[in-house]
Amino acid sequence: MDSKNISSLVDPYSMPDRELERYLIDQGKAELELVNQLETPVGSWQEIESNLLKVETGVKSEYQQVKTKNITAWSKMLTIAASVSFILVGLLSWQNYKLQSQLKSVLVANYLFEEQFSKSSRTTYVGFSSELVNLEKELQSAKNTEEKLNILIKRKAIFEKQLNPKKGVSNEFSI
Amino acid sequence: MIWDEALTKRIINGDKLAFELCYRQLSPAVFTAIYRVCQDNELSKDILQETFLTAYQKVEKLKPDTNMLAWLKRVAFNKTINAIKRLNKFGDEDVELKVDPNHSISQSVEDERLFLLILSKVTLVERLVLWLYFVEQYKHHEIAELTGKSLSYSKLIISRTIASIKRLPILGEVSNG
Repeated sequence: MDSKNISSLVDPYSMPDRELERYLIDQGKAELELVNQLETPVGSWQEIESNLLKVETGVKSEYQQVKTKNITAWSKMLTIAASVSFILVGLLSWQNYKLQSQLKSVLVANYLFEEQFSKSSRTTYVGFSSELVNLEKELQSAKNTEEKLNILIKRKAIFEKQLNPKKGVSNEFSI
Repeated sequence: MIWDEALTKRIINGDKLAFELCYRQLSPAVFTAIYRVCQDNELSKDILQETFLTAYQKVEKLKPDTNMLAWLKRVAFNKTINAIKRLNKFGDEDVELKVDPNHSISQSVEDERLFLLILSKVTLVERLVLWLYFVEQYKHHEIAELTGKSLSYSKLIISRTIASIKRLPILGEVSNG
């Protein structure tokens, strides 16, 4: 280290600015020499070390928290999706069961009327056969159970009309 | 200062012992730079700790051929700037070397180097700029980048400091004998 005092080295009044700047740079460079270094405060490393541990555990727990949060979010979403699916499947199954049982009862009714019709010797009303034929054609081309059910209901109604004709009131045709 | 590059590689790989060796070897130089700028033991100690903590967290970004001391000092200067901002001392101040009438400047001049004397007479921000320019040999554009100020900011501080040195009356007396 240059221990000489500045009065013997430099006269700032007479020195040009550029030279003075150069002189200060030289003195600055001297500051980087090992002998000019200060000692670090005692216990600094211990504090840094304990903080490093905190940082490491902090980073880990933060990671774990994020991971747990993600897992919780996913499990919630899965639970909701599973519940919705279960409800939808239940609803569809119930609707299908209802439709099938309706179809079954209408079919039974149709058989019963057919049987009754074949046994009876009653004259059919005009257009009965053509209505029946049309409905049977529709039944063959029906695409789903619901459509079939509607056609069978109509068919049942035609048989009903044929077998149980509406009776007029006693004085309907009286003069 | 002799620095083993193998130590840098070990630090990058997360070797904590290597990091401790790095602290033992390089912290005096880093602390000196911080202390000379801040001139406050507690603040310098805090900045030193923050520097090494940040360095530890960012070691994976280092390259094996990085100049470790220069990198640590850069982190330290960034921390110093943050501290200056926290202390709200990043204002634009006129450089005027302040003379304490109760302190014997002539004695200081005889005992100390001119550079350290100047450092003791300027504000915190000016000290940082002077240190970066005269000691760390930063260019003006590098100082501007680090401090977030304009290119002329450090130029102005340097030129005003030089001008102020010539106006120091006691220094004149000493130099004139």
